Amino acid sequence: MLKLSGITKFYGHFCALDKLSMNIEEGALYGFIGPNGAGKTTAIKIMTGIMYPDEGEVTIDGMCLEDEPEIYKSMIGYVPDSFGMYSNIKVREYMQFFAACCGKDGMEADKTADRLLEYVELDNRSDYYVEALSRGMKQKLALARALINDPRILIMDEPTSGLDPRTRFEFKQILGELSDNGKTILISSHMLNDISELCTDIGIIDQGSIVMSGRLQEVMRLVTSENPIIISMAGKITQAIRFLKEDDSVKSMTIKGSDIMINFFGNKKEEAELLKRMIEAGLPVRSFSREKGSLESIFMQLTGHGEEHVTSSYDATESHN
Amino acid sequence: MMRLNPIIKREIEIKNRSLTLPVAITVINAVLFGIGIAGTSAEVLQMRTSYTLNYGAFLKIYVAVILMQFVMIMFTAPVLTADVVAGERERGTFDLLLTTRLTAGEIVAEKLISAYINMAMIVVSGLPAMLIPLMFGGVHIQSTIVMLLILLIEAFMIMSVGMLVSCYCRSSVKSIVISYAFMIALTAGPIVLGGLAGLFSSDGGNGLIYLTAIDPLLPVVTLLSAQIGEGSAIPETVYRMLNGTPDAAFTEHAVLIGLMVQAAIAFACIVLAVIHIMPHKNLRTAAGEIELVHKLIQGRKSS
Repeated sequence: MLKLSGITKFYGHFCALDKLSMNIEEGALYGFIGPNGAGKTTAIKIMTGIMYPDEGEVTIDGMCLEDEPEIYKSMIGYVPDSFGMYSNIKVREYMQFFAACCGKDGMEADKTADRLLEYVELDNRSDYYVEALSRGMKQKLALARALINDPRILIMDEPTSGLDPRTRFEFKQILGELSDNGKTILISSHMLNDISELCTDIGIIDQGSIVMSGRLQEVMRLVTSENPIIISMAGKITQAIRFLKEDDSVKSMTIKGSDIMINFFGNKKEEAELLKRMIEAGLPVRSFSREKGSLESIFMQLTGHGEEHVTSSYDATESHN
Repeated sequence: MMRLNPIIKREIEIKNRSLTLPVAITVINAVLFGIGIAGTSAEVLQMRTSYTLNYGAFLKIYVAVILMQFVMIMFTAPVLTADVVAGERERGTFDLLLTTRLTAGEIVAEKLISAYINMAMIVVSGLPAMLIPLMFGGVHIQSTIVMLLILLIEAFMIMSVGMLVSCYCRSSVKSIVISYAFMIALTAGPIVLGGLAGLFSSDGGNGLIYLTAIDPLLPVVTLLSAQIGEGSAIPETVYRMLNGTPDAAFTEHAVLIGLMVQAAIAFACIVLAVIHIMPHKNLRTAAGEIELVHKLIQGRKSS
């Protein structure tokens, strides 16, 4: 649906985005993560039409931003990390103003403002001045504003940052509802727990390029398959170590008490065969499992700038897919 | 329908809630009336003792009020325009405006118009003070209206420069400071440069005096000189001081030439401001936008 192809953006001589390509499927709840300075905000500004790329193309269902900027922008709702609030203006007026800026006049602007304020449960605050709202309410107002055009794609920069647990929960519920209603949502956040909880898809950006993207579950599985196998022994640790050293698939080994962590390069069937051989050799295996991967571990691996093997193994999988 | 209203409407609503504009109007009018009434009172007192009325003194009061009005515009305009785009950037709302259907041109136009409405209110509210010398004659009311219009045009030019600066700056304070620097450069720059060039020129051969055409003071001073019955004596004195003898046509049409040059400066500033905030800077899309505006204008004309 939303496709970025070969996007390059320079700030002077600094390359913020380097041939960045990504594709966000319709209805996806896309988590967009990356370290500070990776190019997230620049990519978001290009997706929202605030900034144009030096090279490359941004399209929604094949329609290019540069060809039809007005139609393109009407399909995007944007919630920036700084709420984007005016002072000395009331909540309802704020909504009416942006509704007017989006081409809705008079009654239509009023109706849109009232409907969206009710949706985010701010209808009872419509006569409050914006600066009097709490952080959570401001974030809800920013969301309501982004929904004025009934956009197909909602792009949110750090939407849950700085919110208290209750507001964050409510906010995530609203996002879940919007996603259920068919909105495509991109969330850029450092709250990896929120991303792994909410998102169906993920894209990790580093140094201006996407280093991993895909369905969240697939990415997790992919990274999990790279994780060490933890073998807990009920005894005979020395014999188990000797046995594992003789296996060609075991590349390295770490021993922590009765647990042996091995880097094993093989598929699930080969894993099962290793376990079978250990049991046949009379080794008392108490448990045998791959270490579970988390979004945080993926993030740390991919953005660590030293663990090239993960990226390259991903590339191989990506091209295979 | 032309979508000029959202920003203008909001700016006016917000300004109405703030005391800034009423305070500015009060202070500026207090100063203008202070000059007008103090000068007139002094002349009336003097008349009581001498039994003669010095009409020339009322013309001086007129000149003082107009020049003070001009100084007020110079001081107020950068403050009114500094916030327009730089302030939006500070609040993080500028990017949001760019995600709406408003184009860069519409944002600049609406921002400039809403700031200019406030400036116009300030300038027009000074009209009664400008009319004080009329109590004793000397200047026609039509002349005062013409002067008011010229002050309004000068205010627009100064605000266009401020608008451009605001588009380039990320903070309102920086925008105000740079706008003042530009104002000083535009007003004093031609005189200073002309003066320096005059030191090294042969008698009356200083070509840099034509630079005064960019000076917002030129139309005001030239018109004032004519209105108080001095013809072009005052600007000619300035040209002589700068060791220059401009073409007779330049001296004769200095007001018009000055206004045209400054209108061109204002136009250039607005175009540069639009280009600067336009998300797309490649020529293909910029040309597309100009073509679109052209089509819209043609459509409006035909309808």
